[in-house]
Amino acid sequence: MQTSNNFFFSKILHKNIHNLDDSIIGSLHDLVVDFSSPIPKVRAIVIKNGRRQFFVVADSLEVTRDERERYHVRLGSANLLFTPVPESDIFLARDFLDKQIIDVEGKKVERVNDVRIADMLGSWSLIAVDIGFRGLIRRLGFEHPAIRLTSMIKREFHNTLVAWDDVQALTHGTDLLRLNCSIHKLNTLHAADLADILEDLDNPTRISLFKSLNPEVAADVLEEVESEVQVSLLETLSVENASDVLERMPSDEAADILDDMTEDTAERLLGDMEEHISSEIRELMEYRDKTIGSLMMSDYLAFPCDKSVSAILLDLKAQDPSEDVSHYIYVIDEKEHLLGALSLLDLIMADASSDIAHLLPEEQNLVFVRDLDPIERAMERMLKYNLMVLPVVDEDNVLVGITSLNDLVFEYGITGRSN
Amino acid sequence: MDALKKRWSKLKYILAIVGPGLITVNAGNDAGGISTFASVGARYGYSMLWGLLLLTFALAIVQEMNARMAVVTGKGLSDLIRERFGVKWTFFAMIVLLIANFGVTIGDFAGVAVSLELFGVSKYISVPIVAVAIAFLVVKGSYRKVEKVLLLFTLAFFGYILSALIIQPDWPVVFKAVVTPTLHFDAAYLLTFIGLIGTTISPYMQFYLQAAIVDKKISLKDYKYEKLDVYLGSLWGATISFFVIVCTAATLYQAGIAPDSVQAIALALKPLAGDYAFILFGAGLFGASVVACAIIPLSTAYAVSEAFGWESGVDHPIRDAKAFFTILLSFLGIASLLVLLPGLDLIPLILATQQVAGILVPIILTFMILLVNDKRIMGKWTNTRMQNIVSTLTVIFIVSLTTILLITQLLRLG
Repeated sequence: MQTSNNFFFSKILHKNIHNLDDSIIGSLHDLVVDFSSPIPKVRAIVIKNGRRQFFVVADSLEVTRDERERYHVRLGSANLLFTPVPESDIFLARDFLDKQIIDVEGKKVERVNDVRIADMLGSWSLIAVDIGFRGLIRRLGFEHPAIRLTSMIKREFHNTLVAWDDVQALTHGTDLLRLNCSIHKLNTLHAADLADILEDLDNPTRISLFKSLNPEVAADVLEEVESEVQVSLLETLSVENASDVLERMPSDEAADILDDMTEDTAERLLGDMEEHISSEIRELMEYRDKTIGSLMMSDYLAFPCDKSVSAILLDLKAQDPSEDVSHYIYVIDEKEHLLGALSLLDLIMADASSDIAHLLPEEQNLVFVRDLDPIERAMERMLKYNLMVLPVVDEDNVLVGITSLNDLVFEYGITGRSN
Repeated sequence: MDALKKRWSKLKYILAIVGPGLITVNAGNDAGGISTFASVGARYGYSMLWGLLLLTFALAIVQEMNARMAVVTGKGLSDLIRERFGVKWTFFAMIVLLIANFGVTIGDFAGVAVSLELFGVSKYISVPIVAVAIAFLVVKGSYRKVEKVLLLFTLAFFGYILSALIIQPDWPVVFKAVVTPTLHFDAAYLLTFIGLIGTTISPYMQFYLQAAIVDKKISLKDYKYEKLDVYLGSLWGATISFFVIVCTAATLYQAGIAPDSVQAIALALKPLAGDYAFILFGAGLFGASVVACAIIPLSTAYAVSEAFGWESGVDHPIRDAKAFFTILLSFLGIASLLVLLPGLDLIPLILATQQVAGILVPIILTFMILLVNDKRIMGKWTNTRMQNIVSTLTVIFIVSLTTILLITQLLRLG
C-alpha cells in the first residue's frame, strides 16, 4: 500500500470510505468542486450511506493504492463535517463527468471520460481531463486486462489527457453557464476555429456561449458558421444586440443572413441599424441569388479622379480599411462612373503630388463585371486575368461594389457540398 | 396581397419544421414493418387491431418525448444517456441498440432480397449490389439525393388503402375489432404481438428521430409545430399499418393462405392491381427496405460514436472517424452477408428480427422516461402525469408479454 496524491476520479468514485478506525462510513458519492479558481479545487466529499447523504471536508481525504492499482479511500481526521452544500453547487460526477468541454489546444469539443485529481499545495485539485479511449475502458472497469492485452502485443496503452489550462468548461443541466467560469480561454482561438466548435455544440450551449462573446468577436464568428446556424444564433439575441453584430459584418454577409430570416425579423433588425449601413444592405438584398450582386461587397475604396496621391494615402491611413478591400483603389468621376483601378503598389511608387487620373494608363483594359451577371462570369474573369478582386458596375457603369476570389471560393465551396 | 405573402412565408416556415416525424415513421414501414403487419392480418385476421390502436397512442407519446428532449436539450438520445447515466449504463444501452438495429438491418436486407426476387433477380446478385451501392452513396455523402427517390417508391403502400376500399371488408366487424381487446396466451400469438410492437416503436426510431430534430435546430417557440409533426407521423404510420392488416385479413386470412412467402403477401394488393400486384408491392418493399438499410446503420454509427465522444459524420475523412465508419460499414457488410446464407427462410427471418427489437423496446423506453422526467435536464418541460402513465404502462405491458412468453416456453419445455 502506498499513498497516492495523484489519481483518476473514477478510481475512487463509489468506493467505500473508511474512517480513522477503519470502519466503513459510506461510499464516495461525489465531490463538490469550486470552479472559480484558475485550477478547480475540491471543497467537500459527498458520502452516501443508504439513503443518508452527508458532506465532509475534502482536506481529510486520504487515498492509497496497492500494487494491483486498487484504490482505498479513508478519512484522515476526526473533525470532518461540512455544512450541507446546496443543490446548485457543482458536483463533479453529476455536473462535469461525461459532459462536453472544449479542448482549447486541440480546438475541438470533447467528452469528459475521466478527471485527474492531484494534491496541489495541500488541496485536492483538478489538473487534467481524460478524453481518451483508455479513460472509457477504465470507467468500464477493464483497464487492467486491457493494459495486459496491449503489452502482449508490445504496444503501449496511452492516456489522452488535456491539461486544465487548455480546458474550457461548458454548461450542463438547466442552468446555462452555471459553471460561472469566464470563457477567456477561448480568446486565443481564431474566429474560424471558434465557429467550428460552435457548430459542434448543442443548441442551448451554443447560444449561451455565443451570447457571452463580445460583439466584435461575435461578428467574426458569425461570418464563419454555416447559414442555418447563423440564423438560429442571431434570433436568440435581442434586436439591439443582433443588429449591433450585423453592423460589424461585411454588408454582403449581413445581407445573406437577413435573406434567410423571415421578412418580419429582417425588417426589425434593419430598422434598428444605422441608416447608411441598412440602406447598403437593403440594396444588396434586392439582388437575386446567383448574380454577382448577391455576393458583392459594398465596402470598397473609391476616389475621385482629381484627388492627389498624397491626399489618398492620408485618407487610407485614417480609414484603416480591412485587408479584403484594400487590394485596389478605384478611380471614379463625379457621377461615380468607374474610370480605372490602381493597386496600392501603384500608389506608393507614384509621385505623391500628382492626381490619380494621371496614373491611369492611356488605354487601360479595365476588367470588371456587372452586378446582374451570373457569378460564374466573375470566376471566369478572375481566372483569365489572374485577379483577386474585380470591380462591379451597374448598367450605367456606376461602381456599386467589388467581389473577391475569397467570397467566390466560399460560395462555390458551400454549394459544391450541399448539391 | 401582402397579407397573403406573409401567410405563405409562414406556411413555408412551418413546413420546413414538419418533416422528421413523417420521414421517420415512413422509413419505419420497411420490410420488417410490412411483413409483420401482413402476418398479423393473415394469421389473426382483425383480432390484433386493438393492439395497433393502443400502440399508435404509445408511439405518439414516445415520439413526442423524443421531440421535446431534442428541442429542449439540443442533444441526441445517446448523448443524454451518456451524460445522465455514465459510461457503464451507456455501454449497456448501446449494446441493446446494436443488437436491435443489427437485427432490423438483416431484416431489411432480406426485404431487398425478397422484393427483387419477385422480379426474378437472385438474392446473390441483388443484395451484394445494394450493399455496395449504399456504402458508396453514404460514404460519398450523396445518399440524401437518392433517398428522395426511394421514398417515392414507398408511395406504393398507398395501394393498400385503395385495395382495402375495393375489397370492401365488413367495416363494422373491423371497427369492433379495433375497440375489443383480445389476448391469447400461445407462443405464436405473443411473438407476433411483440413483433408488432417491435416494428411500431422500433428502438432505432427513437434515436433517429431525436437526432433528426436536433439537426433542425428548432427553437422552443416553434416546438408546437414539431409536436404536430410527430403526431401526424404517428397517425400516418398507423394508417398504413391498419390498411395492410385489413387487406391481408380480408384476403389471406379469409382464404386461409399463410403469409410465409412474399408472393402471398403481395396477393393482398391483387384487388387493386390485378396481375400487377407483384410489381406494385415489389417496388414499395424495395424502396422502403433500401432506405432502412441506409438509415439504420447510419443512425447506429452516429448514436454509438456520439455516446462515446468519437468523431462522427460522413463528411469526416475515414481515418479521423474510424469507429464511426467501422460500425457503419460492418453493419452493411455483415448483415448483407448473413442474408446470403443458402437455405434461409427470409420471411420468418424478417419477422424474428422485429420480435427481437420488440423485446428490447422497454429498455430504451425506460432510459427515455427517466431522462425526460429529470428536472436538471428538462427544466419545466418534464412529462405530464398522463404522458408518464401511458409510457410506463407501455413498458409494463411489453415486459409482461415477454415474461408470459418466457413462461409458456418454459412450461412447454417442462
